[in-house]
Amino acid sequence: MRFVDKEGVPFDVRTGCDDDVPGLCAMYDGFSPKGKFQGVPPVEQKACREWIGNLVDRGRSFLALRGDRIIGHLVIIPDLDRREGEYLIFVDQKERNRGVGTRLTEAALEHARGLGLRGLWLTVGTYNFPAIALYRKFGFRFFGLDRFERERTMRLAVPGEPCL
Amino acid sequence: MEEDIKKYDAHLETFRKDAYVQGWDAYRKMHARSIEEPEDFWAEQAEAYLTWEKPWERVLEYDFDEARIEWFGGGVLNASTNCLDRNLEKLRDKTAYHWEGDDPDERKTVTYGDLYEQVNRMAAVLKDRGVGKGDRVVVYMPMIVELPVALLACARIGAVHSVVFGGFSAEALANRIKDCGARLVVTVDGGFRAGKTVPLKQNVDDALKSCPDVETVIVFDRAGLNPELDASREVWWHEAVADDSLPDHVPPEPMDAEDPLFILYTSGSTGKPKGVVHTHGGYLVFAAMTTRLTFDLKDDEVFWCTADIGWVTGHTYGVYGPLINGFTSVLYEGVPNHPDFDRYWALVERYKVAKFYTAPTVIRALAKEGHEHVEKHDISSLKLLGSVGEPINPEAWRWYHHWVGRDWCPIMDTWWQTETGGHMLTPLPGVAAIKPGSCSFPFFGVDPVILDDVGQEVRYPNQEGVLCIRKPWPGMARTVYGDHERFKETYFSQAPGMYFTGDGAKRDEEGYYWIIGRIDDVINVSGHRLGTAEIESALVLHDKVAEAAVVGFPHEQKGQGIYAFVTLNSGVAPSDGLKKELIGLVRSEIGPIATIDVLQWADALPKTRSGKIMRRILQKIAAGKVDEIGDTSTIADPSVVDQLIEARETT
Repeated sequence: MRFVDKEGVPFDVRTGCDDDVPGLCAMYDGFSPKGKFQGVPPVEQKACREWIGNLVDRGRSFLALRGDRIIGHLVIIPDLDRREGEYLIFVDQKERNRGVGTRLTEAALEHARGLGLRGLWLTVGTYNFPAIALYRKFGFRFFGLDRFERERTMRLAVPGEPCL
Repeated sequence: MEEDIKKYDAHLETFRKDAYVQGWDAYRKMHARSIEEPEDFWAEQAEAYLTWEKPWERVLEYDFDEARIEWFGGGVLNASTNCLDRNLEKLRDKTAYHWEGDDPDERKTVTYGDLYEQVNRMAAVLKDRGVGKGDRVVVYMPMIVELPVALLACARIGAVHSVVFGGFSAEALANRIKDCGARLVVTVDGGFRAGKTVPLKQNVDDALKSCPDVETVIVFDRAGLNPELDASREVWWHEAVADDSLPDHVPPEPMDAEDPLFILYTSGSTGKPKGVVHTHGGYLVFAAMTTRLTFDLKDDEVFWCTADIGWVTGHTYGVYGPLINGFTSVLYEGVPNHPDFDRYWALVERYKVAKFYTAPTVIRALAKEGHEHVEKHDISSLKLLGSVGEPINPEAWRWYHHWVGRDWCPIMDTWWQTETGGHMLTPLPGVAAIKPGSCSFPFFGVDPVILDDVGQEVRYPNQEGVLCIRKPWPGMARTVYGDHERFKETYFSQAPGMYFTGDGAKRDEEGYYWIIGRIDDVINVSGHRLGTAEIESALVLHDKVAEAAVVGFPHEQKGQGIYAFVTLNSGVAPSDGLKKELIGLVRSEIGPIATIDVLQWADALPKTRSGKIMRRILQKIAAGKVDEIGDTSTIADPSVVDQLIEARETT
């Protein structure tokens, strides 16, 4: 699907597949800072490639692209037993605050609904304010009694589904 | 519990009478003014504390979004002039340093006049070797007089010094030399530590194998080891300064207020240590003012900051702060326990130290050996004590206050960072009662705020959050050498419009600040910052290691110890020999300060399905708080946690 970002520049959103692994590696090679968000993306290149491969295998990827270049990557890793999915998103540092993440999240929620998932969750560093603000914008809220821990969980109910 | 938050105020009546800041109201008024009228306030301080060659055109200009900070723009000055030249008129014969060697019989008194002569000679040598304004010089030396001489010589000619603590390895030294593009290294043949000789030049030799851009190495003969020097680029200090063709004095280089003064490498939560850059005007006024006011130092008092000059504490409170003010300081080469655990108190007695500033890790180590060591000496000259490097636990605080402070000396428990240049939150002796473990109140110019988990200011007393600073202060770092993006990203992108300290804190119902500890992946080992990422990177270098995660854990002596969880490649068997190898590997990559305390073999690390490592779980396991692990539903394979807990028992 084609969208236009906040600055009027178009970008596409589509689901990802195995063929996209090289493109993802290229995106993560240029991604900064590495390792800050609970060890991901992995700093070391070989570990990074393995990690990307794993994500593509275990979950459903949604990609934001400008032409051929991947500028955003969102992964939903479903747990069908628990009817929830882990949510993970990275947007190239030069493309942030332009609405890319919002479009990716919309696509992901659509998919989650289709799978019958009740909710999506993620973990985030406790004082990672920019990330937290972003997730709150998408509708995620803090969950659990882990106020004083270094990582916290946030949850987002899939619209149309009963609350968690 | 009540005892823990008891207030101590025996010192107040006396200090209130003649301290620089007298009483709570005076402090509040002055602090408010420093925040509301920073330009007027700091213009006055800059005028009072420093000598300027050319006055500034603007006091303050800044943009936190771009992480651009300018203090005293247009002003011109020199650090060496402020420490030496301007003190010569009245203080030529005043002691700048009482130096004592590792060996108690080795002592030297260095006056401001002596320092001036030595600094000038070394400045001439540096110039002669092609070092000019803006060039970087790495200094790798023990705590001898030649160390501050080297720093001031660099400052005299406008070179940017970068001191590397002698406890760092050859690898760490090489990384720093390369990162800052240093052309010259100043070092020693060897140093003395607890009676043993440490062949420091060997580390330099190893480091330089990968540093072809270094043109000169100046070697001070400290230990008589007489190594063979490489004539193509190495010279003896004593030969270089004896060169009669060189002038005795070098005119100080006029430096803009925002020209770099020094680079100091410090660990962060990701990547390699970064070169924090401090400039001239703002840093020097902040160093001078905090030195004088926090310790309430009077002109005739002897000050002793025990920190190695390789750390920022030694830069600000061992060199620049005291010298700008014309104070007398103690400079001690050795360790607290050589020849015995009373060594520090022998020095206090000998030099009649009035104000003493050290680290909690030292206090804990000395407390463990018993107060009899303190009682061997007359320490009645002590009027005020200080603590720096990490929050001090109440037990250690009380021991310090009782046995060293004689139930009277106030303890200035100062919170600050390499990046802040000088004290940020600290008691002031004439202002208010003190609480064990609290760093009391903000220093002038410092506007702190504690943010909760959604980035809002905390609303209730004792609510924990992350400490941020709302406005610029003169002593703050200006950039990371060669990587301004990283500087911006680390300190100014987390909480927009503020400086993000990375330290957790809370403020009690009386407004006293309490620092809780780092909220990121930086650990504080014996008051020294280490990034878990750099230790992990070192471990992963080993071809048998697949993955590693490092966390801090409570350590009685060090405050925090280093706990490593290591996953080996499949098929590789764990062994004690391999453990030793890995611990040795980290020591050689970083230095002995990064000695892993506990290394646990981990079949797997607790991760979410997406690969994110759940560090809080590792922290709980490392701390032995296995019943506080809490929710493990986010982990892809919760049995990993059970395995780790089991393995901990046998680690």
